Amino acid sequence: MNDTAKAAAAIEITGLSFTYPLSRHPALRGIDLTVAPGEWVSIIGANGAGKSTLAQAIRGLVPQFSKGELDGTVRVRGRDLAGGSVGELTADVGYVFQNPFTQMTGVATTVYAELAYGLGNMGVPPEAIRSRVDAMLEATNLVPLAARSPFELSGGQQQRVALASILVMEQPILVIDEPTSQLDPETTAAMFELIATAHAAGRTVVLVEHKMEQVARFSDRVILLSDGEIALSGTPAEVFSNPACERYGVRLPEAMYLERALERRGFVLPGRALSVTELAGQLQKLGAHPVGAGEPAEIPDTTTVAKPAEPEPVIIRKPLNGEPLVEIDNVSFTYPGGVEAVHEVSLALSAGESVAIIGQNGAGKTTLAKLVNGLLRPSSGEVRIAGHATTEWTAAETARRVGYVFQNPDDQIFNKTVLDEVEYALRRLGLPEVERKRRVDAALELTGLSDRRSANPYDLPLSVRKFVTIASVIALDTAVLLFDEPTAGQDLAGLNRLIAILRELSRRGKAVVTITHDMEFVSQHFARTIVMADRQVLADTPTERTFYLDAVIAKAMVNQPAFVQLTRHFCASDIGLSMDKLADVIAQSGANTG
Amino acid sequence: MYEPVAPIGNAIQRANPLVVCCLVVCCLVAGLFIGPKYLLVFLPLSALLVAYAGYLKRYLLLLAAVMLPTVTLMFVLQLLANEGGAVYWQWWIIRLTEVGLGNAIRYTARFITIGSAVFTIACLVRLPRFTRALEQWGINPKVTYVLQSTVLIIPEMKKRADVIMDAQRARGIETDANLKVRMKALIPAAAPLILSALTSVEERALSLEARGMTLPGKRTALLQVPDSIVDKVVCVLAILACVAVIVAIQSGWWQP
Repeated sequence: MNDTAKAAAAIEITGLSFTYPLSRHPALRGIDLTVAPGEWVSIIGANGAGKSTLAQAIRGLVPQFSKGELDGTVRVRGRDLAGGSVGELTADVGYVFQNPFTQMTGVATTVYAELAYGLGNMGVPPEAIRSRVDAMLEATNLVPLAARSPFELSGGQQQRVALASILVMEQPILVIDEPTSQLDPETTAAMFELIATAHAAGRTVVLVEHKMEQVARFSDRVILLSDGEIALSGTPAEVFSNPACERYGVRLPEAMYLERALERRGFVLPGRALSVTELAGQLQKLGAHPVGAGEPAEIPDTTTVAKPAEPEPVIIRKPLNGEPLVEIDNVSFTYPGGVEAVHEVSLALSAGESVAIIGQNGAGKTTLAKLVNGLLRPSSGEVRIAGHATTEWTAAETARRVGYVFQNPDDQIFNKTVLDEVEYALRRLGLPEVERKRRVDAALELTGLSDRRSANPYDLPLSVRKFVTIASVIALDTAVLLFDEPTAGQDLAGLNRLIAILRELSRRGKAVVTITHDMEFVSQHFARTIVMADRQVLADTPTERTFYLDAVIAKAMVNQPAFVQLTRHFCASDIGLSMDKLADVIAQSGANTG
Repeated sequence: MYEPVAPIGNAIQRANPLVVCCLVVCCLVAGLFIGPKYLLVFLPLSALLVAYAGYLKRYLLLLAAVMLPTVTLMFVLQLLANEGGAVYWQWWIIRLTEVGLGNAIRYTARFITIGSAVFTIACLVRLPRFTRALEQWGINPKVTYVLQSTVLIIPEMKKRADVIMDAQRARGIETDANLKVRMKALIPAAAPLILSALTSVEERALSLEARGMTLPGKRTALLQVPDSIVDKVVCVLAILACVAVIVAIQSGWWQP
């Protein structure tokens, strides 16, 4: 890059290396990166690759807040960060953090005041504060929450408030670290549209993200970090098409896996497709005809299927494999404040069954899990475990039969080492030492934590802390396990580890329930899916049917997986989730294979 | 559209919270010197003011729930623990004496004086208006942040403690049986509560940096607390009156 371009750069990083205190390995090594004004650069990579450290270096938080040894220079809008204070950079760089739980200021009594706080610090006149906050509340659909206390919001709502609080400050550069890790697909799509609007208005965006569909769709440039270094850099097509990409622990956009599967079945596509729309377009170039008039229809990449229908619940259950282990019988639950969170839910699970529960934030999924685990008692109806009503037991006694991994691992961890954490409940329950050791070793092995048993859990990344809590619950050896959002913030390696854990638990005969917003994960790894919306079960069907229930999917505000989006484009009927069937459908619609 | 700064119709609610605090604290200090008789004036007066402001129910609830049991216990203990002077009543080993009654009245009156002043402030002063008024008087926003966040974080810590107890129950550990079981559960819950509070403080400090907490320059706010010269004069007069009462009592000129 020439000198003029450098002078005009929004961010210019030269030879940046950074090592945290007490760490033997640098978190960043020799980073050279220039971001032009108005550019959208996404930083991807496996967990621990240095993505958040790089983002914090751009905001000056590294090394001025998080201390360590830094070499190289970081310039933001021409200013060397080594010389200035962190506070001064507020006017130039807006920063949204990964954890929604600690992003509230702690002094604002309303969401409105939360948004106004940063503007007040910037000295914006009160009238301008009002107009900017009003506009941002409108744009982010936060008007109904304006008078609520930020502390009373859900994680997803807090994440929206945190992003809105930064967007309203209108800094020319936005650095955003995994803004949607706790959000459902609908809200994720809405959040990205907001960031895209800010980008369209000329703001520079640096995004750290695991959701590759969004990265591929919005980024001008993608930087892949591996072990603190820039391993790959280029347009989304260049980076995701590089065969090395997956080796660095990065998941590809789902359309690329479909493309690869189609190529294995003889289709020779003319180019790389990063989205289902692009893939459908390429298949049409091969002669495939879409459903209907034959015109290529726009396929929603990230949004839900919009069908204005009020669906009837769809329950298609296969016979259970033996006696039911978990029975939820017409259960309703109302919180003490009077808010009903679960309404007349009935379902049953057998031993060895692995079930996914999907639905929008606030649909009642977590409350249902707590009802099964015994943390909550049904207001009406009954939960039975192996034929016994949970009301016969204390919460702790139920929990010895039903393990529950919380959504936020920090709510569950309180020991100094991973080993102590996993062993804690076993010790408290008085298990003999030999049995404790056997269970702890097996749980650490299964979760990939064997070599981290002496580590302090709080020194580990959030994604690994999640595995610490999973190991703690696996060690309890309960007949039923409930996982709440285990995929949030996981990279490819984490996801593969999770898949292996779920398979092993099913093999051991455990009944496993997984609550998740990751529809690709659900479509590929669960035989049965329960869809919840508005406190009720909307569908309980084999997964191969679930995502074709358009009215249900629309009401639950979840995404259709890429596979179903593509199928819908070329076939009116429901063909399940078989890749061979999809290839047949596309071939029958006229596409030429090699 | 939501109105962030709701109009305040009530003169007491509208008053500068620092002036309200100053007046109540001056009354409190004077009351400690005046003695129990002071309460005969202050209690009805504070109840009237709180009622005018619209918070009488809260005030009476605080008095009944917090003050009454504490004061009763304190009165009985002082009454029975001190002996001397005339004996008014005796049964078995219990003696009600002149000194015991005097001490009981004196100490409980002091406690009520302090408690009623605190409750009056709690009912009449809203925290955001109080901290904003402090900032308008030139107090560093970092100081007001610490004050405000400390108060607001208490219910948050309570919620957090509940979540951690839930986490223990979710691992099969009894937390709500007998007292011994509860204590055993409470001790390990303290560690994650403190740990997570410390982690949250660090992460929240980063979030505050992102919101320009340490940005140099002039600050603005939607909330503007009325702050006139009259307010300052009232405060000065209240302090002078308080000093005058103390001097009068200490010099023996006035014996309440």
